[in-house]
Amino acid sequence: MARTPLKPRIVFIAKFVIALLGFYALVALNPVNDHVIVPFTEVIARAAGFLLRGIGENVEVDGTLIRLSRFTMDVKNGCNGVEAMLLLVAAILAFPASLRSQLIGLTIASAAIQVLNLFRVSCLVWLGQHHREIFDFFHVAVWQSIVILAAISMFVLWSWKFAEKPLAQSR
Amino acid sequence: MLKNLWPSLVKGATGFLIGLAFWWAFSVPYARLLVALSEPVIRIAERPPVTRLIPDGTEMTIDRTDFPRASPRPGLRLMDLTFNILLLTTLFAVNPQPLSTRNISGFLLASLALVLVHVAAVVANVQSIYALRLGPWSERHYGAVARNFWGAAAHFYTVVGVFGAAFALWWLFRPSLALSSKRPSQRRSK
Repeated sequence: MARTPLKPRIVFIAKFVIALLGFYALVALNPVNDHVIVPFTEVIARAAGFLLRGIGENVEVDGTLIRLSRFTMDVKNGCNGVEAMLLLVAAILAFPASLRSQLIGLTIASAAIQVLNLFRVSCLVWLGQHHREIFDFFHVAVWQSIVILAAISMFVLWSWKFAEKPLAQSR
Repeated sequence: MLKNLWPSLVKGATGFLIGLAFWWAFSVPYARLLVALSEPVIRIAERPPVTRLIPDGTEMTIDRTDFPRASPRPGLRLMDLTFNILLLTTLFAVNPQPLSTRNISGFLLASLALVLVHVAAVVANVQSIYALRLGPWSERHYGAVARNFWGAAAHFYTVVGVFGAAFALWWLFRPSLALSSKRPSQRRSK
């Protein structure tokens, strides 16, 4: 551990924390929440409803509510993938890379996170309807961790492929 | 490329399962530890110190000696604050040479720092309950700035801080990639 260069890590963490706090403050503002986050969450709920209908479930979607015969789920902040995207955006922006690399990383990784999150929401609704006893466990521990780990994995892969290698070569 | 990802996926899944087993098995004693560490921190800012945190399985009850005896006591689910240990064990498991001394000592340091993060999360959540959820009592004892601050602090931790803390600690304490990827012969020659 003694030989590990600590300063770049501390600089990265400081930038990451500042970016995370900044983006959190932005999405926590009521106008942003009401005009961006809630409509975005409604799109996710509709897309999850579409997927669930595709596997034969009788689904009704009303705003952010997804209703099945025995289970209703309200997709809220924390389940819309925005938290994983905030983490990803803060990490990519804090990392020393070119703007082009950052934009490529943000676009591809954010899209991938949303696809994975769509699968999470659909899976949780399905579990709530058919296996209610394990819904809470999957909701809190499993899916949250998977989505966040996916975001971190994408960041690490991006930092290897698009940022760390070119930076190392340029030194 | 996908072929190269398999070892990392297997290591990650193993780390996740170990973290899950550890988190599940030790959640009750860890709740007692968190309560024991958090209560004095909360009481530092109180004149007189009145808060009592009572562990109850994986949850805790928040009591104050100045609360009316008959009023219900608010509670806090500690596992909602501590599940980021799963993230930390998974990330350290994926590191190259996960069982090396440097990786394990990094993991232990990160875990120790995570305990401090959990104490801060408990303090923020208790203060948020005091500031926002106790009706007229909250309004009497907390001003607008304090209510917003504690509410935002608890919400920030729940939404992104819980994950951000594990990621930041992994990033800070993980063994250097450049050092880990060197062959043993290269390391010996140094």
